[in-house]
Amino acid sequence: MSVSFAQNDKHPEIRISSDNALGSKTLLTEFFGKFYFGKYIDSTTKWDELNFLDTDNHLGFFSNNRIEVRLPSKKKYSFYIAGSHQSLFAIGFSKELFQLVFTGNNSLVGQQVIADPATMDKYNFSTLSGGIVYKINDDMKIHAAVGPVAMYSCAGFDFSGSDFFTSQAADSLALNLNGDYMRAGGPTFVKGVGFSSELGIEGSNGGFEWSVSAANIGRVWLNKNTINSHRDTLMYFTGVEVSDLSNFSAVVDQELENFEQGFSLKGDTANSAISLPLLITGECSKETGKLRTDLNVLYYNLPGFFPYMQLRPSWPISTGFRISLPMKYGGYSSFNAGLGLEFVLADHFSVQLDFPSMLSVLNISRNLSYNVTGKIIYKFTNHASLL
Amino acid sequence: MKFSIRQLVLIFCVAGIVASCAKDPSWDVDVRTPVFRTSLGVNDFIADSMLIENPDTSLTFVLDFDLFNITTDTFVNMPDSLYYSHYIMPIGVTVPPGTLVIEKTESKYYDLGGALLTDMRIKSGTLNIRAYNYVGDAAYIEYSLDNSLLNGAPVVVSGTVPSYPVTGEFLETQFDVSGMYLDLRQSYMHCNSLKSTIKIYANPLATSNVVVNFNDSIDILVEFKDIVIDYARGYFGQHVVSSTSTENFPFMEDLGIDYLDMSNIAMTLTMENYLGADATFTINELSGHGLTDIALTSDWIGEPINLTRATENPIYSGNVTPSTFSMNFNTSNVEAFFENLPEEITYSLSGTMNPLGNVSTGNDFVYYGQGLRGRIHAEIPMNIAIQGLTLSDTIDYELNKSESFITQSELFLDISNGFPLSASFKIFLADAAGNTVDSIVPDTEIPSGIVDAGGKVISPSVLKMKIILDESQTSHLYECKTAVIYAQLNTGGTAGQKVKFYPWYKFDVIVTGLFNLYLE
Repeated sequence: MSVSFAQNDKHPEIRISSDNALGSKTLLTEFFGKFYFGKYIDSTTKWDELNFLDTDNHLGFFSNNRIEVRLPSKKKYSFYIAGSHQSLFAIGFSKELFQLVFTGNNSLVGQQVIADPATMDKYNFSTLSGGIVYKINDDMKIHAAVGPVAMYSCAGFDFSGSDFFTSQAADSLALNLNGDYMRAGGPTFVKGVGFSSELGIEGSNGGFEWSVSAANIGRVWLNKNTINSHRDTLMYFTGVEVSDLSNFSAVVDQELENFEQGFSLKGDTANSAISLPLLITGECSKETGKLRTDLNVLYYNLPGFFPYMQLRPSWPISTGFRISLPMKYGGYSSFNAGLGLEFVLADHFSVQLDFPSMLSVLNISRNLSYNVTGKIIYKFTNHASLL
Repeated sequence: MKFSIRQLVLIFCVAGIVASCAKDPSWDVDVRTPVFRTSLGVNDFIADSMLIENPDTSLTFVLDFDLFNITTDTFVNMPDSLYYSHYIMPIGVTVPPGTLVIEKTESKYYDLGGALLTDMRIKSGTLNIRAYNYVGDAAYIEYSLDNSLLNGAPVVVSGTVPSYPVTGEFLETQFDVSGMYLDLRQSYMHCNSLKSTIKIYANPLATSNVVVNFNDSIDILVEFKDIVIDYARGYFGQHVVSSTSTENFPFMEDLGIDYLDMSNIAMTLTMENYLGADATFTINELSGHGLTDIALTSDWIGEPINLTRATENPIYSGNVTPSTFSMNFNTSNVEAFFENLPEEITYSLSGTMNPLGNVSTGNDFVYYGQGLRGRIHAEIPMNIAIQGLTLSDTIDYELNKSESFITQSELFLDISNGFPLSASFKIFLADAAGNTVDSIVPDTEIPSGIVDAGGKVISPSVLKMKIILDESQTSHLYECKTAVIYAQLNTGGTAGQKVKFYPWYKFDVIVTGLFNLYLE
């Protein structure tokens, strides 16, 4: 999550944070486990999953890792540098589409399979930025930074306007493929470069410490090998090449290679520019006696993404050790809860780890929801311990 | 654009991308897909071009068959050997190089067996010269056909004849005379004649005077080779022509039927005379060989028939109008003849060309490829009773076998029979080399279409079949590349009942498959 702390005028302050979540409100943990770990997905699992799916379904993963160093300053202005590495992946699919893919079209004869949604977004990039913190008054500061971005992989499609139809007699299959496809290509490790900026505000009022920031405000120019294509094509099956169904779940890039090959997208290459997915974070903390309550909010501007909210009450067990009961809602999954801890690693170093995934692990909640957040803080305070 | 389920999967199942870092999951899907389809109609056993529609929209099978064609070379020909000469020097001489030693011009009349030809054009062929020189030095010869024209000039063939005693070699050369015109009126007979000139020169390349000794000699042979006559004119003579042959008659065999009952067949045999000469001929025999041997019995058989000469207008134009003579066999045993399902037809005819002699005063003519032609034309109303009529269609398809384990498949056959005949149905699967690997033979007979009181189909009968293919058959289905579909039409109503065929009669087959695929 984002940082919020009182600035020290003698010592630099370092904060490393990592937020990771994989989830889906409608994908069952059992199904995803079999799929992801390469097990056989039997009929019961498939139809169980089908019964659990909504009309619109999303599966997503995000990993936001950030390091921030704030330099000491006695003036109103101070400097900070920040770096991040973010991996984002999100897909959206309809229930009928899932049924088509995992059970075949025999159960959909005579029906029109509407592929809405049928989306995928994938980003893998790093940012490095430098900026200024301006102290408005003793209780409020604003900060802003800008810097370069390196994009390692980027892909996305939206074929939500597509549909598939198997005639009643199964003597014709029709695919209406309608949508956009984009993928950063080429053999280079860095597929595109650009800039990113961030800005935020933080403060403390009435015993609350809070911060709000917006990041990933920027643009990336992908190289000339980037495939960017629009398709609006109606196709009929004249036969089926059954071999094409094998080796379905190869690696992502291989799949995308095949995708591009299959739909003749390879030729549609050109320099392309994209906007980074906007990231908005917020934090609020309140101490009431020994009880400290943290509320964190994270939002990525991606299809199907609901603001990820984590409420984290914690209290000390001993000096230098606290436990927490993190509860989360949002992202791509629904409510989950678990345990967390916070401990002093060394002088001025504290570590915070939360696992609001217990409901999924214990199979109390059937939907897929695995979440891990953590922080490492190097910070001088007036107290010996952060805890 | 051809696409496959993979593309479909790739579009929609982005979940697969999630598994990018994991092991391959596996599952099975039931894929229902079209495999192939066909529509068999009357034109699958009789070509469209051989069908005409009657006023009541029923069909008539029109059959045209060239029974015989007696062409140019039967009536006129050219002698192969044109010229042979053996020259002996009566005295010894010494001459400068290139001196004309001998020149000889002659007109020669050829006996062409009674034919008296005045004009001829050669379509293709060569003029060959072989010469032996027994002089002590080489000689140069020049042979010209003075009564010929090729590209506006007489044909001249020349060459150097090496000294055979010195070199052991001789001259052999040929000259293409395609398109050469010959005026054969150069002799006192004013026909069948060629005029030629031979010139023999001392070696023009000799560096000193050439010595020709007494008794030295040169042999020269000139021949026509592979001559094809394009046009001939004159009097062709009075020839007796006879021809007997057995020809394949594929029409009935192609139907693949076991039994045929038809009526009201109209058949004519038309003789066409493209010769510019009168002819009299007699058809001695016309018989078919099928289930048995049946000879056509008609007043025309054995009856002398006179054919007048063809006309050409204008002369030499090649615009020939044949004289024709048609013989109607409607009242003969033509129905039995065709119901015999003949696969071969034997004919025997004899005749005389120019039976009255040279009545054209030397103006008979013939062009290449033309002569006497006999053609059978039959119109068979498709109001017939048949058994075993086979409709077939060959379909190329491709079901690439994957690594996925396919235990069995189900084929769904949607069959619509719009013929007034019941049918049985088979599918043969053939590999890329055309070898039949497996067959799918439903044990159900497809009933005939529903007919009205007039026997016309008013709606097709529809039958849906499901055939379960075991692992072996499924494997064969994937390995094969071609499906040959046979529909055998049997009988409609009572046995032997005649039915009319209409152009919209169809036998439709749609084959779809349900494949359980194991994916990984």
